Amino acid sequence: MRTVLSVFFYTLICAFLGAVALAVAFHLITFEQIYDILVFLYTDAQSRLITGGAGILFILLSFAAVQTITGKIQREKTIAFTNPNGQVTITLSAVEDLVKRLSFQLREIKDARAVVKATKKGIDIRMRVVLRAETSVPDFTAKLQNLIASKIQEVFGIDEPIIVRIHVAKIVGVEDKPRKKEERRNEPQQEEIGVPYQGMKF
Amino acid sequence: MLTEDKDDLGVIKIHNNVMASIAFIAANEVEGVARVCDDVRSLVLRGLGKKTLTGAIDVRQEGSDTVNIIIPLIVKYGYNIPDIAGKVQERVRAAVEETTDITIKEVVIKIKGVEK
Repeated sequence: MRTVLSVFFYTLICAFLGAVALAVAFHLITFEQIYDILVFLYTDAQSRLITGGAGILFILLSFAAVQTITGKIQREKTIAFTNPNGQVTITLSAVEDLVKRLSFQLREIKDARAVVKATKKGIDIRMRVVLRAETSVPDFTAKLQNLIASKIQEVFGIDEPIIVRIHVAKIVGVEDKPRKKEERRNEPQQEEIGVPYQGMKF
Repeated sequence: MLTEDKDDLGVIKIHNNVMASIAFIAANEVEGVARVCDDVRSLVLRGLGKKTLTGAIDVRQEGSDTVNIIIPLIVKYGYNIPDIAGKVQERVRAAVEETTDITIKEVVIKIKGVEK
């Protein structure tokens, strides 16, 4: 229903703009007529109200159209399998969620982003990671690839091959904040200076 | 959008929202399900302080006495998704069929995300 509405809306707008352009090109509307209409819309209180309302309606309709279109695109990105009781579809964003959560479990990773695509060859996962210093990149990336591939196969029950590409975007130094906090904790606490005659009552 | 059942005394009509609510409760009972996804309507109602028990569950009539139920889910991290999906399908089918006597043709599960 929403798709029909948005298609109708855009058809109407395009047809209107086309008609106005043609009318201007063939001098079917004079400049004075356009001016009169604009003056009327600008000055008359009721017509201003209607114009404003129409503007809000058009904005809302355009948002709905965008949502419908992008929603359709998102809907197509799924991995599907069938159970005896019906179909199960897993959106690729769910796979991305899982990959992110898996990577954040590892201490060596500071930041991670994942893009998952379902291709004919299998599931293609492209990761962009920021690693902490003191990490052996070849060993760690191999470990990460194995972990992600095995976990996804286990969690989603997918038999298709999983290709994990890792792009190490940055290697950051070990953060100083936790160390400073520990140092502060380890510092001997200064004894509180007692105020003389503190508890005395006169 | 009502499923009808004729009785000697009259007609019993079960609204699709009733089946959606049963499916919603049944799906949330399965271990590993974080929640059922919300649609705009339920989000608005929740914003207004009203609880809905349907989420974005879609019940579609398939013929005169069979229905398809589509359930968008967010699952908990660490659980096997095909297992959870299978359990939800079984639980929902059993719950809806037991309570309404309507035949479920298919329970379609859509996994939309993973949460802790």
